[in-house]
Amino acid sequence: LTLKTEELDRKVWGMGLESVPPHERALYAVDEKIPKWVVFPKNAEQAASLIKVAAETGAAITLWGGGSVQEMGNTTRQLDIVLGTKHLSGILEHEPADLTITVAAGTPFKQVQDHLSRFNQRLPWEVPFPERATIGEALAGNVSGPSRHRWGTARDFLIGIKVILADGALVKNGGKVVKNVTGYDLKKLFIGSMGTLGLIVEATLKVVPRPSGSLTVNASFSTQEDLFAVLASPELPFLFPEALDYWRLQEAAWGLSARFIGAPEAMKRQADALSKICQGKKPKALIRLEGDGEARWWDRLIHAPRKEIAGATRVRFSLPSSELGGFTAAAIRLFPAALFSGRAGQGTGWMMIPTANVHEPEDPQFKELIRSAQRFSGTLFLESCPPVWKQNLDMWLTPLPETFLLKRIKEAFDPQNIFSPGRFVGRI
Amino acid sequence: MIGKPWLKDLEDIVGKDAVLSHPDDLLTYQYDGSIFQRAPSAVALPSSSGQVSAIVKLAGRSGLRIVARGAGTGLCGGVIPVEDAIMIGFSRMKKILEIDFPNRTALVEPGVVNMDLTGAVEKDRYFYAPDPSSQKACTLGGNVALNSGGPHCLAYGVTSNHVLGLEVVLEDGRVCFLGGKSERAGYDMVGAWVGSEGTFGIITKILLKLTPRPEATHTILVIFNEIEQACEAVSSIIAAGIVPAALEIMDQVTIQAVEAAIHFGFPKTAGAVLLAELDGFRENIKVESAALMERCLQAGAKDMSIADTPEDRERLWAGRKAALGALGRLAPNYYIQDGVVPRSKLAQTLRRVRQVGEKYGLTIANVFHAGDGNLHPNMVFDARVPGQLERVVKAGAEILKACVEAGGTLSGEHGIGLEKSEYMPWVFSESDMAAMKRLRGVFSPNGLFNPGKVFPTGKSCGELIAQKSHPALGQDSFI
Repeated sequence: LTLKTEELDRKVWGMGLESVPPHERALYAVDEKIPKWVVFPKNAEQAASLIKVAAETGAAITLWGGGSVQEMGNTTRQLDIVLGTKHLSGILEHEPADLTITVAAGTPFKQVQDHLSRFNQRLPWEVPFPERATIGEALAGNVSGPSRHRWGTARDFLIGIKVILADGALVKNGGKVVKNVTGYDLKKLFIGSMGTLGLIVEATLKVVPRPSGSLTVNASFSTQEDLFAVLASPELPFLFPEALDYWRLQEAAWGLSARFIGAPEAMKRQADALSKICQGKKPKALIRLEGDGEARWWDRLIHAPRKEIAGATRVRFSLPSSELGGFTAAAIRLFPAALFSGRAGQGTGWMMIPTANVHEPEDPQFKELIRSAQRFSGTLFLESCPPVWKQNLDMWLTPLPETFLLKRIKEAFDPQNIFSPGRFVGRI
Repeated sequence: MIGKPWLKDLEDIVGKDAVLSHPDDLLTYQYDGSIFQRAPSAVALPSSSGQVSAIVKLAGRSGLRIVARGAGTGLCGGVIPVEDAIMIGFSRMKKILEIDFPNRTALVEPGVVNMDLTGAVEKDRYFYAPDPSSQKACTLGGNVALNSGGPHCLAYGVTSNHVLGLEVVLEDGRVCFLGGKSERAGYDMVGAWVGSEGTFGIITKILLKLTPRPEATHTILVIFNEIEQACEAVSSIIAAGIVPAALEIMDQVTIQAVEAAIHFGFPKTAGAVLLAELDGFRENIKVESAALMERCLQAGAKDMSIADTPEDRERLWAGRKAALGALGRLAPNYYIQDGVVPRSKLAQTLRRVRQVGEKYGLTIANVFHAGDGNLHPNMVFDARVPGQLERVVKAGAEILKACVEAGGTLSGEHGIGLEKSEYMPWVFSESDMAAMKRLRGVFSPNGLFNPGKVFPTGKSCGELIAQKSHPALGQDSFI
């Protein structure tokens, strides 16, 4: 891409978009790259025009919701325009009896949940920093929370989408009905695409009723072997927890948290059955949480990867859930001060390594960590690390054989590399 | 052999006994559950991914297209070749390769019959959730290609929600595994392949999610005088925060046909039957079934039966399961539509369906997945009467138009195939479809696989039917 700076400035200026003054642009820096323009289109049409201008002038665009996932991914090769979605906001359609909701992509996550709670409904989905994070960035980052154990991830509840592609075309996929095989399921590609395929402007999501009750069992153990023995119990899936997390937080014990929902008698029976399994491994603590205490605890787990250790090097792992114990054991041997939090039933989570424990990506322990994940059939993604690492390292630490197909998808939808070039898997 | 110089190569790949090319042998493969039929040039029955890859390369070299076919239970003409094509059948690729209870997954070949997977895991209290009504016959490969649904999708989701990984053969013959037992980074190619109707490539292995079986299931059968009341009950149940495992409705035409066929015992005046299923922990079901029945009473329910043993539940489902077969008593042929509307628009759309029936002088029976807003109007007719088929196809189009106008779409679970490809512009703009085609180009730049499906070609449904000697009508269909 050869940037035609003057033409870009003239055209963006001429569009009369809301933009931030030069001295505030640093607030929108990504990996220390400061954009030339930070603009907030008023509607999808303006956003489409801006994307066309970028294509004409060789400018690269980074999309910006609330900025909560902006540190993730590789450093973009070029960053000229930050396109913020704060004006593409609002709840567009919600018919409670349909159990679906259509929202503009720039709507803050919490605003959607607050709206739904007035109808005794919810998205079965949690994201860190929900006041700030938008629906669009939660989709583009494929952010998920503890409830995915029961309800799945964005791919399971996104039923319709509107996106603006690199040629400025506004494209619709899916619809507003919960069952749909009308045409290809293009919308799946945008989930987790990190803003590299197009701008999500609107999403229709399945919602679920709020549960009548909720009860959490917290159990902690002296060793991680005991914890994973409990998690491997073949009876556990039949207790149907809505969420099943495992953790090693500042308290240094190895623990699990299981949340049950429904009628009080059923929850008690589920909790009793789980407690019995836990007691077989002599837990250090075994407690039940309800109400505010329960909500606060899950909030801590949702934010643990971001907050438990300030400035930690944060690695996201994904493994078959049966391999979680083996990988965790290998990982803690390599980094004894590391903390963990994750979705035990889904084989995915985070390892937080104090920055003092890992100096550079060439450290033998760090290399060995990557090999361990591969040995346990898993993959690693470096979510957060010292900025200097990002210059030479692909944040997707495990090579993926299907990268050639991912490249073809990027070329098919964004042939000019307008959207965050180089940010995605394999630097596409 | 004349005109088929590639036949020898095909036999070399899969073995002589795994190639069918005699017109008599091809008869079986020229139809599915739709109104279309056309024979492929030959059928190959490979037994491995390697053989599939070799067939794909051969077709590329020989200028032939490829159509993959499961059990042929599809209803949209999705496996009817429109050009000279080698058809790949999966009757020799039906092994369950691995069942992994710790990770709750199964790896299967595409020819495995849907119900056989549940059969293989049920003694361990697991099941495979998507349950298209053809599940005793249809294959998992076909289910993935069409993103099949079924009555229990309401609580458990459609096929797409249960596919974790796919081994696929691309146009150049390359074999790739997409997805896996753990979450993969990158664009969700598995998600994009599900429902791509065999146009991206050939699926040779499928990694599926297994679901633990809840401890209890209750089935509730509710009788209403009016179908509007049944629809009202559905909306009211969902709005009350109850999401049953299934919520099915049968209308009066269907009830009477079922009654004549199996003497279920429905009252003569019944205008609609609602079949609801709740599963989970006993205490939860107790609360939910009380609330559900309360809502049904408020909506005007006349009679209710509840069953909690497998035998009694089976008995309540018998009427629903016999519905399609029973409709065969009304006329020699039927034509099924698959429109979807937002749940709250069910009653108004059914009124439109009735008006369309009156306009065309057709009997339309409705038996459908009400909880999902997925309608299945069945038009019964006699194809031997000149003009009837054309009328039925026109009426079907009008019904789908009504669904689209109500905020819905063309297909909930049967797919677009040949049948509805010309209606795609009702839902999608040129740019919407161009974007879809770009995705197909990623996997199949030359359009080798299942051409002429999903997107409009400019031929009307009538023209497509007229190309055939006689229409094959869904005698063996399921919904």
